[in-house]
Amino acid sequence: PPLLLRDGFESQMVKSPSFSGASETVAKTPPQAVQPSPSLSKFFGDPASTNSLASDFFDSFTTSTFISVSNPNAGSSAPENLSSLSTAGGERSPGAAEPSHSPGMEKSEAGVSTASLEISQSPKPFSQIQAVFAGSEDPFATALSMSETDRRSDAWLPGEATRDILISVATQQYSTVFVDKESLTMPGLKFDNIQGDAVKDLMLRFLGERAAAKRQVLHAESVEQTFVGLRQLISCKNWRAAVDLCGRLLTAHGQGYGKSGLPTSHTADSLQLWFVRLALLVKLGLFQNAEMEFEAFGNLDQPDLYYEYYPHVYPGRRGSMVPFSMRILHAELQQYLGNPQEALDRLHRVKAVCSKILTNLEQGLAEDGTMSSITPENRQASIQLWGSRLGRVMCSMANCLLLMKDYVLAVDAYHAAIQHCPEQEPQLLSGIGRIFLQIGDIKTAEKYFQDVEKVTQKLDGLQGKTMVLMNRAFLHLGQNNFAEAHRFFTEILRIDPTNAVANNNAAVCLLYLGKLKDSLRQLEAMVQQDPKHSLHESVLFNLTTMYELESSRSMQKKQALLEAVAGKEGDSFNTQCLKLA
Amino acid sequence: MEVNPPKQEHLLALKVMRLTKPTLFTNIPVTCEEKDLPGDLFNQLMRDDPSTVNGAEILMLGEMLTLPQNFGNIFLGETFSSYISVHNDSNQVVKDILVKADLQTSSQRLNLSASNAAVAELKPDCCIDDVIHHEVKEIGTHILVCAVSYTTQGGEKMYFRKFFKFQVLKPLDVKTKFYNAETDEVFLEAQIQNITTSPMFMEKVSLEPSIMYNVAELNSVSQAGECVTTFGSRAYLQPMDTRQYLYCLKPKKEFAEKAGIIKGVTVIGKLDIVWKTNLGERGRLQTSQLQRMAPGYGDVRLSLEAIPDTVNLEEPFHITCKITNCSSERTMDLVLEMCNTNSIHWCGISGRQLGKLHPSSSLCLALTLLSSVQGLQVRSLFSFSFWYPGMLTHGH
Repeated sequence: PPLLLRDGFESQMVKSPSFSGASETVAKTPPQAVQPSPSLSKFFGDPASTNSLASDFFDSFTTSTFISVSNPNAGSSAPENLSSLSTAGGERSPGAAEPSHSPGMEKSEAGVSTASLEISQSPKPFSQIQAVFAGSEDPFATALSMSETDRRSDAWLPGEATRDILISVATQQYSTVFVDKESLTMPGLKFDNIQGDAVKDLMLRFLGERAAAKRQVLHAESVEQTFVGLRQLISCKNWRAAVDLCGRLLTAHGQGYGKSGLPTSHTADSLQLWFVRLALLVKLGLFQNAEMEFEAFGNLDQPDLYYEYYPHVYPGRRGSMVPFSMRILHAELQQYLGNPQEALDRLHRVKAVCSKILTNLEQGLAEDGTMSSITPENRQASIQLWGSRLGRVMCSMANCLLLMKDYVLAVDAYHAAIQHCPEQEPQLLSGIGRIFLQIGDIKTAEKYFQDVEKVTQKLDGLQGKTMVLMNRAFLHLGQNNFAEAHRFFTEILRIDPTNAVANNNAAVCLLYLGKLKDSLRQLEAMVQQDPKHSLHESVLFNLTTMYELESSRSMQKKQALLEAVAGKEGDSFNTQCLKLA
Repeated sequence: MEVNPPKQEHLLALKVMRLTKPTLFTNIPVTCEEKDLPGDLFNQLMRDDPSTVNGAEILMLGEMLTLPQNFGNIFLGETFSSYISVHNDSNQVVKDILVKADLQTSSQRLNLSASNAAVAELKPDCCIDDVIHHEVKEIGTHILVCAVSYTTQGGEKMYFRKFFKFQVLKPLDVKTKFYNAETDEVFLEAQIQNITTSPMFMEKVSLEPSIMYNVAELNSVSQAGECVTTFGSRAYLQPMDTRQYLYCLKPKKEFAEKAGIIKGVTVIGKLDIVWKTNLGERGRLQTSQLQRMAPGYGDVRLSLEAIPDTVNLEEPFHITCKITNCSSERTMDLVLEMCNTNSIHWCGISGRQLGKLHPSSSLCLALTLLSSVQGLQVRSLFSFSFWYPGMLTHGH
């Protein structure tokens, strides 16, 4: 049954909350004391369909077991919030809600008392929102087209228990909804500072204080305390600082250190912050840390992770606030913790939902299986989105099986992935060929490489040729012919001089041919000429291994590498490959 | 692995590195969608990462080769490859450098160096490189002994040695079992178990028969004109996996007669096993000659020459038996007695004389039977009795 708010209310919906300041503020001003704002009733539409007074609406917040205490600090900086609201349209400035106050536990505790401050200021945001709408050309059409993108992107199929709770929230919106604490998501930071710079530490030990002082990295404080600053830290590979900044922003939202297990509320933005924090922890290899903080999110299907749970914040919106990529991350993390079976189980669940949604779409229904009139273009776009998501899951499953060393199933899974990502067929077939090389089944590897040659014939340009040459080189490696392998890797360099893989691999072949000095020369040249791409773990491992083989003076050369790294790499660099420890 | 004598100041340094095949670098893919906070950043980071596959960055198994980081394990039958590098760490030119690499096992000492000639001179910061290969043929302790002798600029002759100890382990566990058929064929079932720590691809497992036998391998079937193995899609052996191979040995014509009366131990042949591991690293082993204890036949032996695989109910069918007098002295007078069972019935005359059978010779007998019961019949077919002066026995 369609939710009460759905019909006819879409035009009043606030612009997509993912990255707009508007609804953020709404989410972040949940009152604890019960003084309703008169202007609010204007916003929540048709008085006839509501229970009467807005005061009943606010009552529901206070008398239910669900109490939102998100962003207790927002009150103290509300004026700053409002100024950034003037950015309309697709602008991503949700960071507005988290200005430059320093994070810390003491603030969040004080939050309770500042709540009353917030109430008196709450009317302001809404007038700003009106201004936003007044300003743009066709706000309703914009809102509608945005809502199509949102709808298909946020669609999800909740489990039965969750569905029941969401329905009861919708139908009892103005009276108490009691939700068992067990079904709620109450995350919090589990450690509050992982800033640190392994490169600088090594520099202090081996190159001295003066050299170490020259090391410059961006810290969490060095950038704008917003999503913009966060993106800056990510792109320059200062991921530890980025994790820290996410932590600060989440603390401002009320989910900081020590807040785990305490009632809270979620928004699309807060979930994006969690996703980025957890994703970066995985990229840094800090799997245990990620696991600790992921725990509170359960199976990512709790009712308070859905838009429908917040009908007053996201009126008319349906679906999950959990980014799809977060579901993939949640599953994949398990394989890095040594639980690949659990990873597979989780991926299967995601796959099942994707498949069901696709089936619904193909049968002319909406993503969630309800009757719907979606235009053909939108239906096509949705099918495309969910098809690519399905492809992502299947690749993930294949990777997991490979990690489990179940090569037979992994190969089957990669074949299935090809069905969903046909543009990656040559790369996936080459990858399968490499799996057979790893097992030692050279003949089957050869068959796959031959298939790749057939497929790439249709491709023009460098990529196809490079792939074929790379595979031929690998085949020769499998046949113990390092000289021929070297020839093919060198051939790739001829047509693509910046190909770091071919460069590295050619150098490796030289070592096996007894040419240590030549190999070192090639790798050193590569590192000097293209540090951006070649200061990579694998290349540096090879280089330091050969330094150790070459002479007793390897320490000096490794330190020189450290200097090169110091000048270019962010705090996320894995210093193990320098073998200085 | 290094076991070194006390250090002396030398102008040259010797370094050794085992050259197992390189491995492929694996990535940890982290992605997000355009609408997410990082936008295209995560994907951009993966594209910029040289170790990801261009166009399929989510693929974990990249193309970047990484050198081995430790000695690893070495197994019997594999090839031990090593880089030996002698580097002039000093700032003077060194003359007459001779590098020798020997492998010492519990039973022998082998020279592994590619060339035994001395190098005239080695300038500062230059090196002499050698890659040695050796197919490991023994299990247990092996010691790589590297000796370097050289002359300094001042004419002083110097010498030092380095020892590298490693263990060679057993890679396969092979068990065999013989089955004697009623015909002269012998079936060999070989169980091969991978007792290493990585997957193994069995490239070839063949039975090389001894001079007496012809062998047919029963590990592949013809399907749609192609030879398909009986092992299905699992083309490789995971650690601790076992595979059974089946071979059928038939004695060659010229030995057929003898095979029937051979007693004691006979040599059947040996198994030749070739396998491959990571990136085509090859191993090869053979078993020693497999021996089979010929079944005791006593004085008389009955074997089947010809019998149909399936017969129709209540239709007579023919078999051919061969009776062999295995004794070396006694001539036998044979009498054939036929016993019916509930399911098998004889068509012929029971109790007839078969004539005399001389020592070490045989006679062939054509008989007719019919079956009255469906299904697989494993029954004692019939009995015959024979006597010769002084002895009465029954044979079945």
